Amino acid sequence: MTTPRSLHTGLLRWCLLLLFWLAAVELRAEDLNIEAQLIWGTNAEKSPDASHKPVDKPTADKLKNVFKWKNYFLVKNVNVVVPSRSTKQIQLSKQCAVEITELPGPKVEVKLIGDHNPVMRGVKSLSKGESFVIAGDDKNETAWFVVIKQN
Amino acid sequence: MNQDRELQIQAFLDGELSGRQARKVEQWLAGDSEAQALLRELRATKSALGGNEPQLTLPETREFYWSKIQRQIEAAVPEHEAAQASLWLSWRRYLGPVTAVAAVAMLALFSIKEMGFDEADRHLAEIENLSEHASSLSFRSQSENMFVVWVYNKDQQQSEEEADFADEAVIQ
Repeated sequence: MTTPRSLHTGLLRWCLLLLFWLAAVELRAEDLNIEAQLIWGTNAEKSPDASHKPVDKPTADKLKNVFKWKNYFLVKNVNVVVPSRSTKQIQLSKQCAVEITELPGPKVEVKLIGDHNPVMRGVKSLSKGESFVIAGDDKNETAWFVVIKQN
Repeated sequence: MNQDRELQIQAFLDGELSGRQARKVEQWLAGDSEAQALLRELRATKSALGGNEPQLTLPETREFYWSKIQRQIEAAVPEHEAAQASLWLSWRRYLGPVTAVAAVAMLALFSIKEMGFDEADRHLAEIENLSEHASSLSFRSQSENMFVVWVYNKDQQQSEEEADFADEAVIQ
């Protein structure tokens, strides 16, 4: 026979199980597959560096729709996996690096490092298909772009 | 003979059949010797049990007898257990609805997060300049799904502004 006490214990157990399940779903953390690109924007038709190749058409079109430069060359492309709640540093050039941290939310923290000194940091959620771009002016009316995407 | 027929014979003997059913049973009983034998056996058993069943008479009324038993049972249950049970029973009435409301609330929150109803929150960003020489401005391009932080050199910006101001002063 079911006594009130055993009924109580059974119900409590189910409630706790449900709450744990929902909490686990809510707090689930995933590794981030990040693609970081260092891109150089210019109005010149060719890059002075032969190793620079034009960026893929979708990325170039996106950048052209937002920025004034006509051509965009890929300086470096790096794919990394950032484990949950941890940080990965990506060296994009001798002077430029980015530090990416996976945060609860889920959000990402991107820290730009120039010449070994932190320059800025940004925290935001990064959905798939969204680009987080850090950019700045360069010599001779050109510009550099660090494009961070989640794959 | 199948079980249905055996039950019908039992019901016939106990007087549980309607007049029509009883007549029907009588008809096939007349032509079935096995059924007749069973009826005899059942009848003999019934009379044997009926004749020998001890008849107990209570010294008090039925109601008083059962109320005494009830009082004995209640006295046997410790008081604190009874109190605990009644407290639990009073809480149990609210536990179901409260659990349901909590589960629905959590599922709703979970759905809002999963389905992207917190769109505005997703677009919020926290930008911090870590260098005293650099500053930044940020914007979002909705059409390109792009969030941009434009970093510039504060010192350079200031010297350009001063140069512009000096040019304007010379023109005037």
